[in-house]
Amino acid sequence: MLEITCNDRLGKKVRVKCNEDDTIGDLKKLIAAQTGTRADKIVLKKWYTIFKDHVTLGDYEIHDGQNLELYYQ
Amino acid sequence: MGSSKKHKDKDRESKKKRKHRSRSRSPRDKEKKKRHRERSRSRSPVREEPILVEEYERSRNEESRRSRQEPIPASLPAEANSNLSGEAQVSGDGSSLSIAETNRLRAQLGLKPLDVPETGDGEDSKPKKSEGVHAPAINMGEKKKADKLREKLSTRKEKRNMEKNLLEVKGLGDSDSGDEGAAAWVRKSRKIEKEKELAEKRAKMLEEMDEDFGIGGLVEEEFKREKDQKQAYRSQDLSGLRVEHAMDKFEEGRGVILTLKDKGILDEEQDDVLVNVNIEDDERAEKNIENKKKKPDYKPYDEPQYDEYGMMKPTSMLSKYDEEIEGARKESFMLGSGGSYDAAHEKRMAEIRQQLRAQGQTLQVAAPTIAAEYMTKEEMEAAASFKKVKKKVRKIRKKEVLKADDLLPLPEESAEDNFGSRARGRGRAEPIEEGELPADEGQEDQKPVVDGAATSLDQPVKQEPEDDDMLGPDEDLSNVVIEEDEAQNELQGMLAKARKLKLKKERNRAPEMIEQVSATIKPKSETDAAGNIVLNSTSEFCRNLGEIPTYGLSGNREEERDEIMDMELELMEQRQRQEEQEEITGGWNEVDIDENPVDIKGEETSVLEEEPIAGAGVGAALALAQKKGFIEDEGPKKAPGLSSKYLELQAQNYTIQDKRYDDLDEKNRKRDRYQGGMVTDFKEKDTYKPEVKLDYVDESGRSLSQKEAFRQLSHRFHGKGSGKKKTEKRGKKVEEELLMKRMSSTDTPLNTLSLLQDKQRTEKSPFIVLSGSRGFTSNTISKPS
Repeated sequence: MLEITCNDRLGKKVRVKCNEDDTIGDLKKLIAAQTGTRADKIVLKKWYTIFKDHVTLGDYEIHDGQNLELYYQ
Repeated sequence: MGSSKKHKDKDRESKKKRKHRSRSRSPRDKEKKKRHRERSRSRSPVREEPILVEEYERSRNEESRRSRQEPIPASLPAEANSNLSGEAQVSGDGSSLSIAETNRLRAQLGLKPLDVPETGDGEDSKPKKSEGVHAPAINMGEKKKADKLREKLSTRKEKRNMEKNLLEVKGLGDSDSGDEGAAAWVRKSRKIEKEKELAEKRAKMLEEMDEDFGIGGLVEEEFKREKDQKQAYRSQDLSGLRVEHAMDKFEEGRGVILTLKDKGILDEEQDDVLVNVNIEDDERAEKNIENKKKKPDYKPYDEPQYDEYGMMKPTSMLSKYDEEIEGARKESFMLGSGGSYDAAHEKRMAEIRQQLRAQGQTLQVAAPTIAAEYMTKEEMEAAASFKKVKKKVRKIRKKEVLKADDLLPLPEESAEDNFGSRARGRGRAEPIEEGELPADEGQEDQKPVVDGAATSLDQPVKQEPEDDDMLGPDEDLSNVVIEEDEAQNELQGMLAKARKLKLKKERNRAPEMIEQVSATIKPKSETDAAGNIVLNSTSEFCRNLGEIPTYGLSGNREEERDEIMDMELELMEQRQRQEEQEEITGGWNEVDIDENPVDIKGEETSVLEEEPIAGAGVGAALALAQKKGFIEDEGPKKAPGLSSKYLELQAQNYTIQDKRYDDLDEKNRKRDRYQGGMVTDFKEKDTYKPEVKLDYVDESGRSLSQKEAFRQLSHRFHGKGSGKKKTEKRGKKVEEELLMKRMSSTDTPLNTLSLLQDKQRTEKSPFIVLSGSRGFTSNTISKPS
């Protein structure tokens, strides 16, 4: 289990618990559940890398306590 | 303007103030604001996902309640602890859910639960289970750990068991049973003895019983019969057995011992097979050799295989692996009834195969061989025979061709007057006939006679140009005999004589031959003297000597001059002697040769010849032009082969257009199209050797040298000429050349020589002083204006 912090720098900052083998899509759903935005409107970024839905967190080497940038499309 | 500026300043100030205010806001204010934001956010999702949020809300409430009721377990790791506490603290924020909540959420989303590494979670989830709301999250981490532990335990157990077993096994040194003591051993041996006795007793009793019933004899009989049967195992019993060798391994009249082949104990399906150990070994050796040969795996043009009837066998795909997949195939044959095998069938098959093979035709072409550099004997013979045939044909053709000689039979023509020229022309390759003498032919060859038929093109051309100079075109050349040197003649005669003498020894007909030959020689020499002009090479040489135009001109041959004079005198004498001789013999006149030797001394007078004056007439003008190089002197350059006689052979329709280079290709194309060149050779013009000279001219009409012509051609071909600078340079060169030609050939460009001569004439002195001194200052050379 790991906990990730997602922050759009507009006032929403959530910490999400998830598994390492969850996909980014799952994470987005979780974030959606916590923040109330629709999952398909969420874009997760780290610097200039947009994370793709079908890839797992482990494969992106997202570890516990990492910060992801939260954007909306 | 100023007012506006002031306004701006004010604005800035106000901004500053605001900023300051914002910075100075207290933390409590911030928190208040946060709470406010949170409230507003929690309101908004309700509209989007009402159910979800409801649940979320409820779960949060529960969570908070639980956290209030139960103390946080100590076993939780710090992180989770902080999470929970954070949750509790910043519940208004809602930025993080607890594990349980997350798991619930995940369950709703269709995801698997979180694998939490700590153990305290199970207790957490229990009360929820009782409520029937939330299934306890399976702690994956714990499960994994447990599994690992279980596995470890099991392996440990197994190991222990094995060790125990090993302990039970007795070593070699350990005794078997508990008979350690001597007493035990004795007891045991006694027991064995007892048993033995008992067994004997029982056997005895049984025998007695057998004898009583008469069974013993029966049993014996049975045994005997069985033995007999075993001995009577005949070849008939072998019928149906398979021999696993090819037929050709067995030779007639040689015994081969066959044994049953080894086979596995358990496989009963296999029939008995007979093999010979030696033959098997041989087969194995053959196979090894075959393997060692390392044949190429891929044979695209391999010869096809034929079956026993001579039909082509279809080759299976990758047949080289057949043996590996299906096992080695062995040839075998079944023994027939009576345990024998008849090979007659095989023989018949072989015969049929042979027949079929004989019927077949090979498609193989003989391998190409390198052509030999030398002919073989057979080839030589063949070639010789072929040559003969060719010769025959040639002869026939020759007769068909009409020649001028055939048409004009000469009045005095006879067998003797045929001076060999025609015979030579016709059949040089013919072998010398027996009657003819080689000396005879040689004699004839030396004296080519220019007779009446000299107009035919066959006649020697060498002498023509000299003739042209001296004789008029109408003069008859019929009686001119070109004679070789007397000495040479004599030598030839002697040689002939020697040869004749040699022949005389060999043949008995020789004396007649000599007579005959002498008869033929004599009249000829007489006729020579009678009516012909003799041109010998010495006189020709002398005549030519007089015509060397440049000889002695440079004035450096004074020491040679006397010698030359001497030679000339000698030659004169010789000629006079000859003339005398000739005058005695008959009325023919010699070719006009200039009598007096060349006046070499006459040219001594002037080193610088005077420039000829053009005023005397056209001839003088031409001479001047020639001297100056306007007209090129063509006399000595004239080709020896080109005489007035052949003028008719030169192009009749010669125009300057033919020389044009720029449409050469087009002309060639036209010619190619309409006439494909000569098909048959022109017999009449066999000796006609045209003199071809290609002239090229440039735009201004100047004739080009070979190099220049090539350059032009090349430029035309490449479509690119030389650059401006180069053309200018070349133009300059041409101009210079022209100037050089125009320049007086006897003077320097500044006419210094004529000036010098003038000076000398006026001063009447053979010298001129160049360095200025007092006496001659007025006499310096000056250029005439």
